[in-house]
Amino acid sequence: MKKKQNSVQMSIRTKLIIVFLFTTLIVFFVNLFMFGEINKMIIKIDGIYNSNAELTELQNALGSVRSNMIGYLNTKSSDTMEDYYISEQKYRDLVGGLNDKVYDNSNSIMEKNIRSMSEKYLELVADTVEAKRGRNIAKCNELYEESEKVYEYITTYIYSLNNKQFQSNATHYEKMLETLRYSETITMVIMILVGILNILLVIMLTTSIIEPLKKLARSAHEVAGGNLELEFIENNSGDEVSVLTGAFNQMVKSLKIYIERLRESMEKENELKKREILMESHLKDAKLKYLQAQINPHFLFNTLNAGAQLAMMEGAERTYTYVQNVADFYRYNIKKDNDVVTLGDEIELVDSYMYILNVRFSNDIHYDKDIDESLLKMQVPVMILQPIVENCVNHGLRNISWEKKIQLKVSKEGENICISICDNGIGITKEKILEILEDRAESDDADKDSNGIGLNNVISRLQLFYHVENVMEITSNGENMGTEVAVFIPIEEKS
Amino acid sequence: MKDKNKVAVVMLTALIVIMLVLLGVVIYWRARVLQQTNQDTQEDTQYTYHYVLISDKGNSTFWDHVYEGACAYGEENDAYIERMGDELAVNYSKEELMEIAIYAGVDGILLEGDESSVQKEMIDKAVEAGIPVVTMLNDNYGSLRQTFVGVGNYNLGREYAREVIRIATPDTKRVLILGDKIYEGQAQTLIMNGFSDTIYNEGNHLELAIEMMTVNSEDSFAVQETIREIVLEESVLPDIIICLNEINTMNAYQVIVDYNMVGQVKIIGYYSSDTILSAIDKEVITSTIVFDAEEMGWTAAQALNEYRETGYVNDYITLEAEVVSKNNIREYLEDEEKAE
Repeated sequence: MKKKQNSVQMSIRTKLIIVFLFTTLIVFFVNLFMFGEINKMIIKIDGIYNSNAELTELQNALGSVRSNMIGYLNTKSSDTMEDYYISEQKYRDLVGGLNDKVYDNSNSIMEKNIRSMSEKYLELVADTVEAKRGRNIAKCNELYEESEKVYEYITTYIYSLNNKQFQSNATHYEKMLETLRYSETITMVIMILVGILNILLVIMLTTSIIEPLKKLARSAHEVAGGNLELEFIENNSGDEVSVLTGAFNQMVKSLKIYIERLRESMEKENELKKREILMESHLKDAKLKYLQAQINPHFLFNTLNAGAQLAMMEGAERTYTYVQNVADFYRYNIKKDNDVVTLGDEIELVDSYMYILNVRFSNDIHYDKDIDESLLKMQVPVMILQPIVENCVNHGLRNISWEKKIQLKVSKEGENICISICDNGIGITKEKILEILEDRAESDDADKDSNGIGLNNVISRLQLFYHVENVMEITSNGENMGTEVAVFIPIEEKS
Repeated sequence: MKDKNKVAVVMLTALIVIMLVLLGVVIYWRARVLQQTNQDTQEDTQYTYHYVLISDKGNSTFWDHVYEGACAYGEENDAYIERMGDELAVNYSKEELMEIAIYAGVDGILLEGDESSVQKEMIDKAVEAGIPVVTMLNDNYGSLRQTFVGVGNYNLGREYAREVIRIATPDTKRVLILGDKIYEGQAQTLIMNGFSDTIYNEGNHLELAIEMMTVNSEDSFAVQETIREIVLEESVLPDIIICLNEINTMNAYQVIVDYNMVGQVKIIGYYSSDTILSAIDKEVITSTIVFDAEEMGWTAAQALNEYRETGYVNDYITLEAEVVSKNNIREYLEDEEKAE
């Protein structure tokens, strides 16, 4: 079906040829028909007087039979005899063509009478000739007389019939001529009608070709004006216009489809972006949770074990305090599923940690605090200070021979709270600082004494929590000159 | 869109109408041409027998009716009746026509009989040639004709006599019978016999002088002159003129009217042409003897057919005669109309 629509079944040229051929054929055949009829009529008119001619011929033949007979009777020559036989045969043939049946028609009856009388006449003539031959003059004369009478009757009959037929033929001829004249008018009428018919046909057929073109032009104009919501243009004419219309319809349809697709893809893109953002936030969340989970519980257990051993061996007050601190530390760790704690809690944890360390390493780290008490209620992410302190202990103070010191300072600096942890350890190189700040430092997970949370973890969490890039500053004045780690927390946010 | 459909429908309708008109014109034209050209080719009925009717040229109305009657019978019984001599350019006598009929070998002849010996000769010749002959109106006594169909001359004489007795007054003295050539001889004698016998038997209270004169009806133009002479030049005017044929009746009527003798001379006519009947209505002609001419034709044709088929036929077939006068002319006309 589609293929049919797309291919030209009958081109406009074929259509036009058919129209002109058809109308021409109509005119041609009508003419042929009219000429045929008129010709037939003319032939009939020509034949009207045939019957008269035949009768005249008959009369002449009869006359020649008679004159030949008389000639023979006069001269008795073989020439006249021969002539007589020839004329007799001719007359007999002619008479044979006459009617011999009884018809309800006076002309046929007259023909029949002529035929019967002629047969009788030929008999009489033959007898007369026979009598002449036999030299029977009396009989010959008698028969001749009789034949003359019959001759006269036949002549009268032929003459009368001829007259009668002439009259009727003349009437007939008149009528035929009238019909012929009348036929001229009829022919004119028919030709005019055929002309009108042809014009109508041409108009109808050309309209059927042009009308779809007009429709197409209108639609194209509308499409050009931006209206795609057109009715589907019907055209089953099967010509080039039909193909064009099909293509046009297809074009409008395709245009609509493309526009629709474009709209859909744009919507999809928007959706995708939305989902991407959502995903990102989920990822952030997950990352946060993951970082929190990285805090190693081994340390807790180890210290608790040490506390428990000390308590078992001594049952002393210091041990008690120690275990108390470990328990606090432990509890804090348990409590850390709260993502957010107060700054005071964090500092308490550092206190506990320092106490535990001093127990473990027999009081060789001096721990000082300089705290702005008004800031203790600040909300901060959990486990941010202890890992820094741990880092100071593990990396800055572990292997020094001089007195180990750690100072914790909390103060307000403009819009931020500044939490500073200083040690007097081996210091840190600038390269190392950059590595740490750019999250390139390898975390020292193997260290069993660490709680597992490295500096970079702390930085990441602070950054995610406060949406601020610059959360930590590490400064060191050189080798063995100590290190200061400062954490900056915006006051307005989360307070 | 609707407008366009409308235009298409109008166009299509116009197309169909024009085509129909075209077809109609062509069919009408062809029919007309065929009608004109094929007038003479219509199928004629074929018959087995060919009979001819031979009569004098005069008395045409009467013989027209006879011919019609014969034709009516022929149509029903497979016979074509030719009115011989009707179509011919030469005015042949009855005898010549008979001769033609014999030469033409017809199957039977219906003949207006007369007493002439020429006719007798011809009848005999025809019968010998195997052609049956039926005489009508008047017989040809002594011929070989198969049968005669007619009122019968004696009867005719009687009917006239009765009519004369009916209309005669004591003043009626002279009766003139205008005969026809065909009645010459035995026929005339028979009519006179019938006439005088009846007058003698039924009208013996009247004193009538009966005179018979023959007018030659074959000589068409002479008839009127003869009658005029008879009427005007006779020393005593006849009171009643009896006419024995249609032509005589018409002529007598004309003379009476022309010479203003209506009422003086009464006419008893023969046969019932329209003129005669209207004259009776106007009381110029007193009465007329009528018999059914068509019946005569029918009966004669029937007799011929009967003879052809069986070889036998009655020698003499009589027809009823009727008198039409002012008294019964209305009834007569009504009957005629009904019969038609």
